[in-house]
Amino acid sequence: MGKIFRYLMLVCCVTLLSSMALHKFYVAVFQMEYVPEKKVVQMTSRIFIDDLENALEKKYKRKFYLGTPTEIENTGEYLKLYLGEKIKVKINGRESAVTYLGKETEDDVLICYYTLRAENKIKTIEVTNTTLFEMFADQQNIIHTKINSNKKSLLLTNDNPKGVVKF
Amino acid sequence: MKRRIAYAFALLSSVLAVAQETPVQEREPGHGDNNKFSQMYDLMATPNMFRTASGAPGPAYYQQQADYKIDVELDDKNTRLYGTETITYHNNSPEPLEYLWVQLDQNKRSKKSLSPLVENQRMDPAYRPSAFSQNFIEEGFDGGFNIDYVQDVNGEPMKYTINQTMMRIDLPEALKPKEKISFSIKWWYNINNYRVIGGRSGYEHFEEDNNNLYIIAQFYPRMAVYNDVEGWQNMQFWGAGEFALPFGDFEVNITVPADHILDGTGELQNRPEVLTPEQLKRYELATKTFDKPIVIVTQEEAERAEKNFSDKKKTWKFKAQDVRDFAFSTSRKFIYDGMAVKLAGKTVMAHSLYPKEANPMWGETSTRVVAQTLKTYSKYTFDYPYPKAISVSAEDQGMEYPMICWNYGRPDENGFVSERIKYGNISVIIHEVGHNFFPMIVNSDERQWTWMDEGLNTFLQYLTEQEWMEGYPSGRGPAAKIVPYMSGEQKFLEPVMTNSESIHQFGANAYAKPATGLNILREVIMGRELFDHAFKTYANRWKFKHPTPEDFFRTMEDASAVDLDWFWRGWFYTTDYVDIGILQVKEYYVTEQQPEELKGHTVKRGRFNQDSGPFVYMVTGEAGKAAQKNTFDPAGVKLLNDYLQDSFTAEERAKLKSPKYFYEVTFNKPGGMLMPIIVELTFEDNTTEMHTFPVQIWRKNNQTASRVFATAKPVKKITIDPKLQTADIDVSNNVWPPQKGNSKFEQFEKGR
Repeated sequence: MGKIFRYLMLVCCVTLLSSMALHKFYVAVFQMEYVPEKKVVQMTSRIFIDDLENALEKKYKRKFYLGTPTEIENTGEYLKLYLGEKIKVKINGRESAVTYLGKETEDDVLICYYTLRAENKIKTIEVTNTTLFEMFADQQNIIHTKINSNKKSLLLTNDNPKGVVKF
Repeated sequence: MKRRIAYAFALLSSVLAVAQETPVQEREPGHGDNNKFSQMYDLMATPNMFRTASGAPGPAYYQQQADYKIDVELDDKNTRLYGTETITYHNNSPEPLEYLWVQLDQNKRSKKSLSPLVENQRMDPAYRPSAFSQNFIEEGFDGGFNIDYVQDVNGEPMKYTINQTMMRIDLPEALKPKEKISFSIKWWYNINNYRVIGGRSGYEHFEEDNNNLYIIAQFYPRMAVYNDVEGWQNMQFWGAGEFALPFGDFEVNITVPADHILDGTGELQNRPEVLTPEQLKRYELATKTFDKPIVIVTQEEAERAEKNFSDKKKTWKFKAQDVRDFAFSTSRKFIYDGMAVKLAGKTVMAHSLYPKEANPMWGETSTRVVAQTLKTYSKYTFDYPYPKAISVSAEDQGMEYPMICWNYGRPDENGFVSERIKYGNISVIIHEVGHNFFPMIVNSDERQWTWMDEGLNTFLQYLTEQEWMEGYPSGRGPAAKIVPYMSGEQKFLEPVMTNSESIHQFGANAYAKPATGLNILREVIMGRELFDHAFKTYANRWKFKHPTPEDFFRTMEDASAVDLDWFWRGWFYTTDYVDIGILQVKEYYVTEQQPEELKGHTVKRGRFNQDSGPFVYMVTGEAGKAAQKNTFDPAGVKLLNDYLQDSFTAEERAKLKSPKYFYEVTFNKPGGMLMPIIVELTFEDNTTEMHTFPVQIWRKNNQTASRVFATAKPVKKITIDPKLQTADIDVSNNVWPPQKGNSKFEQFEKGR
């Protein structure tokens, strides 16, 4: 007793799908790059469309048809809301607003574009990124940063949703 | 010379870096052969009489055979399956066997199963009531096999021991080489609702009309594989590592409610007894129709049947030869279609089984996709040897058996089919039908190595997708698609050569990465002709046999004369990733004036002599520019001009190259994986020129390489791997001069 549902969840998420064709790969990739001339950090995210569709549908109780011709009109607003809630960034210890600019699709991936203001030289970036963590126990969000020509990466998981990079 | 200085400098700086961390070390310790081109004697099994060094089955190669006679009956009301079977097991090995191992895969769902106990758990902060109940209150589902008896040919009970998903049958006398033994097993089990409990088989329930759609597999006790590499492959079925099964002949009788439509592995023996005369006629038409699927059981007939709930029974009788397994699917809801497929040397049938909920999508595409898959795979391997292939519509599924497979993807309740579902469905059908080739026929051990069937199959799936439709949005295959995985955190990455149960990211590790590796071999390293021949050789050598990873690796080299040890070593045995960059570019100028630092410089001539000049000097930087004065012209360099005048006639001189610009490019390799260097030079007039340097450019120095380019036009830009063919995980160091900012981001901003 007690294990069945958890087992079921794991079975659904990991074990059963695992040997089948639709085997999933629960990884979203975020790239952050500082552009000193513009005093902004440019950020892109690459998230599997079907996972994101399911997450939005679960949260907002409606279908979005993300990345299809029938995509609902104000999808951008919902994306802004969802991702705004999931991604928190502190630059040099102070919260920095993530401005969502737009999106495009590339095969089965949705690429979103964002900017963050950064007036001063960046010494630290703290990222909390829980995108899709509510959907999959083994979701991984990889953050690649390139600041002052230094490249550093963070791997955020359900157990460890926050990380800091120092430059 | 410069190269040597650069190399010496690189060595020096690495020594300095070490020196800062550890006490001063005067002399570096020695080392073994740690070159990434090192041949794989340390990793591969020694070839022997069973499996040769060429990668082919050896003179002593053997494999066991298991023949089955099975009778099963489906209890649709109680969702149970009852069965009896007689297995005839042939010992073709040179050893006597004291016991036999039989697989009881459904025991993974038994109440006593250990599989759930090896999963890590965490408390959820919130549970739905149903989930809370299932998790903490309800008794779990009991889906294990209930064994009524195991008997010998005389009906006497045989001694058996069940260890989780494996059953050992002890033989009174050892089964000698070349002998066979028959025994019978009677069993039953509760069929799982796979959409609630999970599973590769089970049933899907349709609330609306109270019908079940059954996809039945692993439904009978199956012989384990005994062979020269594993002995008995009796590693438990934990859930991830699929199956290892010997070949054999099957006779299977399946009794189901009379209003069900059913199909399964093998050839149906009693079609006139189970189909109506009208349906039989349509079937006959389908066997002669090559251009479109013919509906054999119509939607109208299926809709009528799903209201019936007949109390009568019908028995469907099948025979199958040279298959490693048997599976079937049955439901009142089934629509059934078929079309004939012409392969190089034979004609086979493509079929689909689907409920009305899957239409019109399934009626339009499924069987056509099956046909495409059989054609493309046959072209790259061998003519599909079985008489048919069936695609069954089963939500949430993607699972393969000989001649039959389950595939997800239906329109939603409003009849809408998103692009994701459309392409997901086509891809899953290609993939699962494709599994007929790997591992159903080229019968690798899935329990041990998931990649051997999934990786090879995903590779051919990619080729089939591209043949189905030019520019098909393939998720796996193109090199660039594997970059997010290969650039991930190392602690979540395992080599492809890792046992199926220990892999973190199954889809990326066992499907996408090996498939991408094969695509890179085909497109970049070996070329299509050599690759296709070697791949086909592997498939033909091992069809209806049991290959190991080494048999594949060895055959690919043996049939192509391309040394690939470095590739297997890096791509399959490690988590190394590709990252090649441009370290520096130096432009050189030509002059006759001897630079100060080259006073007394000599150049080797022949084996024993030294020349002390005069020379044509190559000078870099401002000094070079000043010394060369104008754009380089051989006529302006007297020494060179004299040589050309003396050595060539005017006619010959007219055909000589006329380089004007000279560059020395140094490449570095932050990634551990070796790769050929693909270089694109872009000239000031925006024309381009490609250069590919074979991977052996790294053979003596795995860290840096350099090349000289002499061009007629000034080079504006140098790009490594411009078409993203090598899975280079960081392309920001691939361009000279270095690009500022995120170019993709700038493009997006401009487009807004």
